[in-house]
Amino acid sequence: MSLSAAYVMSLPVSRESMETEERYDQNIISEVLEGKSNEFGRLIDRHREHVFRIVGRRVPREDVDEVSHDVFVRTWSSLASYRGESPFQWWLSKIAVRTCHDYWRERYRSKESPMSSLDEEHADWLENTKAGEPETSFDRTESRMMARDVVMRALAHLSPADRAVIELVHLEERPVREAADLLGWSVANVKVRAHRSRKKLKKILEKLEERK
Amino acid sequence: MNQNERDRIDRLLAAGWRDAGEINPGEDWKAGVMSTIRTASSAAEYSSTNGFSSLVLRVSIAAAAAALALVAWTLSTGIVPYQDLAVKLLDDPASMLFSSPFV
Repeated sequence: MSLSAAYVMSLPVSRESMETEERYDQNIISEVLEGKSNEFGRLIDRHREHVFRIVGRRVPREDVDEVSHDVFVRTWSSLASYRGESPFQWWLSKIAVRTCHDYWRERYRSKESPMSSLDEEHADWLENTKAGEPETSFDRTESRMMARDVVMRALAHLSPADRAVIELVHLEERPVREAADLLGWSVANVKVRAHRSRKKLKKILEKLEERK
Repeated sequence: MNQNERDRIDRLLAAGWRDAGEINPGEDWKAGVMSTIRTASSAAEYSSTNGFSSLVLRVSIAAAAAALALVAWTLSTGIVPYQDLAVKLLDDPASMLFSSPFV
């Protein structure tokens, strides 16, 4: 099964409805390519939520608007290269994932430390969670936010490439082939990185525990 | 930490990461994107128009240089009929270019 077919099947909508949506996107794209730039606003309206979901998970909250802005500007500037071989939303996901990856590469290059390290508070949370705090309590926003904070801080210790792979393969639980397509890398590269980066992340979390 | 604890923490961390919370960009955000796109669109149009103008200019200069070189070559060679033609062309280019050759 091709990746785009797998993607369509994974969506919670019928195939007919998906095809209608696709045709709708195609019409808008044709109009934008004919020079009606304002029509691009309709594509933004249709896919804004999707892009914000991808970007919102990957970058700090204060930068989500800016990175999502870049995603749509990149989408607009490469719209002519969209061949319609996969659903538009899948193509847009690739741009969003790669823009987030570039965001972290840029920060990594400029040696900008995005966050401080994991501290006692995070170690406490890990300890409590390990001790068997009921999972229902996870529903509490505070606990969810703490989990996210722990992951974001731990990810900050990884290289941008390792980070991108961990996010796709381990945190989003996507198949390696899908992750490779989203990043534009080979399957072998993603497989190797997924294995290595998972080990690194495990070490980071273990170090945190040792501090207790 | 045993495997069960590890799996449990992994699950919770992944769920926490996936749930980044609602982010609702306002209309201002969309207006910002559209403004960038419009600016980029005008810049692209300007550069394509400007690109065509500079192409025309470059072709004209090349054509003029080729014409002059041809005249110079004609004058420098000893081919009398062509030399005569070149002299006529230089004396009165307008009538040479626009008059009928059969008059």
